[in-house]
Amino acid sequence: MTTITPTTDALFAQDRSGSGIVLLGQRCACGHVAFPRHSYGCERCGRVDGQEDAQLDPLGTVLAVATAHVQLNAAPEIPFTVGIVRLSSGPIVRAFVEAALAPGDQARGADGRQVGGSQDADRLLFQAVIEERANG
Amino acid sequence: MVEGLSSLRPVYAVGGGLHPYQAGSAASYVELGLVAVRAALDDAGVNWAENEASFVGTATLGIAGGRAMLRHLGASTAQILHVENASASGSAAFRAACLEVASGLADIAIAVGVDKPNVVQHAYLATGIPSLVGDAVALPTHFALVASEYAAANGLGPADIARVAVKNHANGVLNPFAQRRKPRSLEEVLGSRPVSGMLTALQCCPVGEGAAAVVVMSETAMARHAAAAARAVRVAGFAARSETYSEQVSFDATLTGITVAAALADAQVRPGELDIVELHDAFSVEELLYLEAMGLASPGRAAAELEAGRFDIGGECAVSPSGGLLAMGHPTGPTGVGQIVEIMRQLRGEAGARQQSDARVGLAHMCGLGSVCYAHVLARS
Repeated sequence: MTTITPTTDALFAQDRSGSGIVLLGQRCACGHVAFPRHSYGCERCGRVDGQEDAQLDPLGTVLAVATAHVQLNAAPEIPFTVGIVRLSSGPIVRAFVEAALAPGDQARGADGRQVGGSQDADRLLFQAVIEERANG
Repeated sequence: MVEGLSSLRPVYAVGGGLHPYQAGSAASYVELGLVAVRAALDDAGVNWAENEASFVGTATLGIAGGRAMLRHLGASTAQILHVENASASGSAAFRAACLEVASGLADIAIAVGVDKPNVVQHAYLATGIPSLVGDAVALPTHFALVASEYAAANGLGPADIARVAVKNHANGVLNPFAQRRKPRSLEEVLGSRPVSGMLTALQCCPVGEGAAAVVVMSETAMARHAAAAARAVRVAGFAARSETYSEQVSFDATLTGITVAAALADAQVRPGELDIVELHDAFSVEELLYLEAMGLASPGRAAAELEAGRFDIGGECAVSPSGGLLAMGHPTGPTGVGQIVEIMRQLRGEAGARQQSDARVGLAHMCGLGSVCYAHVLARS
């Protein structure tokens, strides 16, 4: 069984048994998968009840990438790169991504503390998946 | 349910006025707004006392600005409604003025858009729902992401998208009310300050200040206003929609397709019949996406058709002949009303150096954060 340790912002969590990350989303009784979790009501059917937690694999297809030279607030430091990723589980998410990614690439989100040094602490960063296959 | 304007009393736009769009200045919003309203009343040949309802589109002024501005036109007890719908505030105000007349509640109404470049609270960022990127995705970055997806899907490069700005800056040169009035080469557009992704500063609209006003009238009122009737432009159809839950990058384009199709159906106009389109080109890439969504270009073909001159003044359909948001500017509240003023001038043959010859039918389109979308079809009557 996977043990989840929520991060401070509870958008994603680390699996204690390995190095993997899961996104903390929810699945509505209508079938709509949402990320992140919220209690306001399903955007598709309006149900407030009937939401169950769903751990989403942070793996998906990059739809768009942009390196920003403008920002609303002091953080993050510019330039920084964001992307839109269609998760294999359905939802599309906006996320920080490696600048080298391009639309069409497969990418996986990893904890920035492990992949990006101190400035990416507590931040999920999507990186290119060159080749992903089962061991064995 | 009654779907469109075509099922209600006919409405006509009979007077349009503008205060030039410009960078923020010491002028009060009252001064800006009164210039536009007086110009619209003069254009219509209507006295202020005859106006029965005022709809004030504003997104940045804060509460209760309308009466403090309009009281200087003379004593009146006519209703005032303030309308906020982000970038589409002015479009929403114009729709409300049309509805007031179309419903029979008024024979003469005015839509006014006025704003100053004030910093405002963004409610949509205060939902309490967190995001992986916090508020790092400012609006130019959202549209840079849209550009990234669109360019990749259609095999386009930065120049294909930047040509929208070259065209619209050229149109702005011809518009005395435009904030940007310099011709810009493709090299200048591409070489301007990088903003986000492939979008450079000259591909992002300037947000300044200004005002725009339009007087609308019923046929009952036109019967006693012969001069207004002689130059009247029919508001032939409209539509307003909002975004639903979406798993798309360019949800504004999908929303535009739905909204414009509904407005064109209301007016019984086909996309190919449009002579003038004023659209929400806040960022260059938007024009390409929306032209395709509106049915004015096949999917993926808008950039090539724009390069071939099809959307120039003098082309098949003049798109953003005012200069659009990119060159005329986007002072927010005024923008949607100013689009109507431009289309009125074009359909009346009064657009001077920007005139599209024999323009008969025009479309005004605006998106607002949220997203919301408005479309109005105007026709020479």
